[in-house]
Amino acid sequence: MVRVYLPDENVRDMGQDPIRIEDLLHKLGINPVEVIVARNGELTPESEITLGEDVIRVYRISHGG
Amino acid sequence: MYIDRATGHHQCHHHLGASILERVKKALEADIKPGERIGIALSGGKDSTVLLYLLHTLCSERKDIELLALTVDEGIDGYREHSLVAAREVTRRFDIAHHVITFEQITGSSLDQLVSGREERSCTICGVLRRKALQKLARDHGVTVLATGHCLNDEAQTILMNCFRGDLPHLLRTTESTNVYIPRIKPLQMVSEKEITLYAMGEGIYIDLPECPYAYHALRTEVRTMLDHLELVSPGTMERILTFQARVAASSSGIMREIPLIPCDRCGEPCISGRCRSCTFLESP
Repeated sequence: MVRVYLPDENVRDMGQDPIRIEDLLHKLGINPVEVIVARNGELTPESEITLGEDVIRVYRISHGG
Repeated sequence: MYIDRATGHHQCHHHLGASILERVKKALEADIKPGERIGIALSGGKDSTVLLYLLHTLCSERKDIELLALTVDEGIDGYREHSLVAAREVTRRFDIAHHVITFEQITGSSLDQLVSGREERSCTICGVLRRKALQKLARDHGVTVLATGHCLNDEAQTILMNCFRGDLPHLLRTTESTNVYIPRIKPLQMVSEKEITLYAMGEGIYIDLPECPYAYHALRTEVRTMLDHLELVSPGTMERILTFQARVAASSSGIMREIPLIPCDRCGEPCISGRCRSCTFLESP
């Protein structure tokens, strides 16, 4: 089961089928331009495909600074 | 770790860093002369922290360039105190002189007090006062050029906002600012917010800070969402907006009349109409 930790601290389980991270973000209503994604603790591009037990963490890019 | 959506190229942290450094170096070569005393506008957020980090990397070995960090404390409760701590820590880490000016010092009030009851104008008021504060702080410390952390996203948003407001002078930058304001440079203007964030995370200098509580009221928030969507469906949009603006400004050079600046009759700061926007805000109820 791919588990996704969202920027608002909610957690979503997204099933086991491989899916491109970009498509996963779209499913969750998130624009990939506005976030950074880590897979199993490593920063990863959205073109990567998830595997069964992946832990995905989505960080919203904070503005300003 | 990063995919450039416009080209489809993947980059590891090392190559992303090299690419960012190259763009910043190019901007500096065009704008910085030997003997320069560069004031880095440092809020403590990710963009200005990365700017400070890169300028330190590029300039720390140069004896002919001096770096110092300048911070404006607007007085925003629950927000600015966090980034001030981050700014102090990063300047201490890189041994860069750090100077702070507060809105209270230049207006007698904090931003929270100034915008109470007119929060919808907070970003406009803050922007005008921050510019004034930064110029004063830079002058007080002998800065010859001010470097700000404005990134590609910020610049594309500003160009669109000037279009939406019908603000041609700001769009084409036809205000006569030479010799009046300390010149500003934006070494990160061709680097996206996402690249900056990824780079900061990879370098271990990223600190997740709260966003400004007044940002909710800003036109910029609407424009940002719209531009982010356009960047998704048409990668490279933001870069094209900057290129377009530069071409239009170059084409109109010499055609548009340069607007002369005169001293504000209240504070003496340069302005267009005889009363600067900062004093106008402070006098309005």
